[in-house]
Amino acid sequence: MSWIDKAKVALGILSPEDIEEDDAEPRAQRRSRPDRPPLSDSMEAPQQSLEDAFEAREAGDISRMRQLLREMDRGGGLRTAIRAAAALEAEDENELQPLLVILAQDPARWRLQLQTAAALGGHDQAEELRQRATALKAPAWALAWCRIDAKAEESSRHGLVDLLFCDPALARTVAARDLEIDGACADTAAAARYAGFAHGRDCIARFGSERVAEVLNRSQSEAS
Amino acid sequence: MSRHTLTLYELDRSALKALSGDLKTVLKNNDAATLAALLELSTTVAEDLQRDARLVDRFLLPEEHPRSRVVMASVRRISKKRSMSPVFTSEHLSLEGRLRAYEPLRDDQRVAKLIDKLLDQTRLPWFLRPKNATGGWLNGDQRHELAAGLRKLRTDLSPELLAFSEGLMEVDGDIVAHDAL
Repeated sequence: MSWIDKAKVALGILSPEDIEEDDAEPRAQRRSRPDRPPLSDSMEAPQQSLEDAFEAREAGDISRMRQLLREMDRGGGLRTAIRAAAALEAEDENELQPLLVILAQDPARWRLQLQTAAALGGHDQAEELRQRATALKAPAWALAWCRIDAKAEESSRHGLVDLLFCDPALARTVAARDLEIDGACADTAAAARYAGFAHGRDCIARFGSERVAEVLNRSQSEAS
Repeated sequence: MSRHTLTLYELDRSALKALSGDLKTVLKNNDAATLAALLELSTTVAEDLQRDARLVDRFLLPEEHPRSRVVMASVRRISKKRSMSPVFTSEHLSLEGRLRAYEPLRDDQRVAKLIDKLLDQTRLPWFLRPKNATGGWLNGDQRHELAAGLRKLRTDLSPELLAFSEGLMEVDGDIVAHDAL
């Protein structure tokens, strides 16, 4: 019995019978279901984030970065692409090759192409990646967003108008967050989509978009 | 916030598509004079547009922003003028609630689905979606099917739904429902 409960009993607020003893049955407990098979193939959530890997890299600890990337790789997508770029940078073909095959088989590989194109900005290679994403049937909103680049005024304006017409909530969010247009406000309806796509773009830019683009080019060769 | 009653408009879909296409072209070309002419803006607003580095930015601002308010109101006014003719306005604020939640309508899955489409703002072009408004559209076949479905449920309908059902029958072709145009 805690001291608060003792005080309540002493003051007559509670009777001793009202106090639940420590050994009383819990109100809810984990139910055991012996009829269900164990979740043997479930993967543990990674304990590290890409941020940790980038910090290791920026501190000059490349082997720690690569180890973290191996541990957090879920077999496709952004983390695999960054891991592959790190392997490419280290000229580790043994690690790189299987990753290129995985990236080439990703059904949504348009996403990495466009995130890399956006991270590359006005670089010549960005247009090639955009064309490849178009061929991979990237959605209109993603193609429009990736044309928005402050350095290319006309193409950027066209991208912004296309985005407004196909996804106004995302266009307003891009106006507020990427373009920082005075008075513009992010639209909550597009917040999750914006965050997911922009996170990939920013991670690729932080690692080095040209290196990731090289990985994507090589994985494209694997695919064809 | 004051609420408005729903109005049904007969929609000229090709005219609305043409306006949308014109607006897109003008914004891509960043052509202030053509935009002012398209939206029939006053000289003062037209002169103000000339000072914009990028016209599309106005349309990305919240509707309550002074730079956006006039142009958005004009786009809606021109949309209505070119492509929509009002055919019925409900007298009842309760109509939307009845359409969304009245059990006899919800029990008929097809009718409920068509009503949800008619009240789904995301089916309208972005410039016909003011904040907190209700709106949507049906093509001619869907409108006909909804009208027929409501006719079958006639004995169960409340007065506002009966009036709405009669309004639906007054239209030929595509229809827009909206409470803020």
